[in-house]
Amino acid sequence: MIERLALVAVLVALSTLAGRWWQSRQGRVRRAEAASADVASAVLFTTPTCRTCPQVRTNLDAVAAVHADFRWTEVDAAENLEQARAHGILRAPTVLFTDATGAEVSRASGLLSARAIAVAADLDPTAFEVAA
Amino acid sequence: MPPLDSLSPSQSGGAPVPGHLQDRAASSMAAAGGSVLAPVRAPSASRGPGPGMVDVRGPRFSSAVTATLLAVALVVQGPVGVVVVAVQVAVFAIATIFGVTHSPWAHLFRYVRTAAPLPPPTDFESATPPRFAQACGLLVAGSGLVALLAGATTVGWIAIGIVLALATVLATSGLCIGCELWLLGQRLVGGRR
Repeated sequence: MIERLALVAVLVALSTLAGRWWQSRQGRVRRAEAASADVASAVLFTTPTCRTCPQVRTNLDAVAAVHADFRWTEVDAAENLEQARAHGILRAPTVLFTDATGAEVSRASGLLSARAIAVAADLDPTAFEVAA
Repeated sequence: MPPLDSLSPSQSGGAPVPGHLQDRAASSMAAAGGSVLAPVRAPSASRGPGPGMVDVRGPRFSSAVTATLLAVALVVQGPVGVVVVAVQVAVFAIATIFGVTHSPWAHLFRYVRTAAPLPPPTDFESATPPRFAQACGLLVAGSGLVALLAGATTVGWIAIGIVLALATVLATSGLCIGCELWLLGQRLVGGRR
């Protein structure tokens, strides 16, 4: 009984730590290799089961509302598995930032704030709260 | 890594794309005569109340209850532990079949929210992802319960441990890892064409 109690306690502690780690990686922007071009637009990959997609959608809209030249599209990865596969999308939400030719500049998975979107797209982020 | 031509909103010289890939800004601008750089659309009410939306605290409360029950079951084990697992599997089944708002733990949450009382809800989310998470829980915990009843106790308790771990993550971090990795699962199930 004591051993099982310890085992369960360790399992709960490890899960909590793993959750914190996963959360700390949310919205981290990773640049594609050999990417140098400026970001022109963004593509949001979503799924019907995605919990944070509506928030990312709202944040992309917020950036587009301030920066009119920032364009974004949404791809339902569940209906477009081929595209998700072609671009190596493993999770939703994932945002691909692309240059004028459509080549990937950078990407971020998980909850992405409006401020982080603006920074990733080389736009002025001052309009967006830090905690947005 | 192929270029994102097919996804690019700048359709200069590109082939026509399906409607669901078309740039929202471009299409809304075209509708407005192309003269105004209007916002893509009104701020979405995706975080407000409405049909199909639930208080974000509800699923987290439910997963905390689930994690507590499964932790107790894992410690106690034996017939009592199996009965506790069966109760949770039944809760998963109710939430999956009838929706998360009908889950007994959701009823408990609403009672606590009124009795405590908690502040009124500020954030809402779609009920679809939590329901999907409940279906995942039903699948794994249900398999575990079957294994326990069939005498494969080690396999059964490992399955319960997995559900406990994921419920703990949802309760403590608000993350639904299964929901995010659903796409990965789809890609694997969908095969490589």
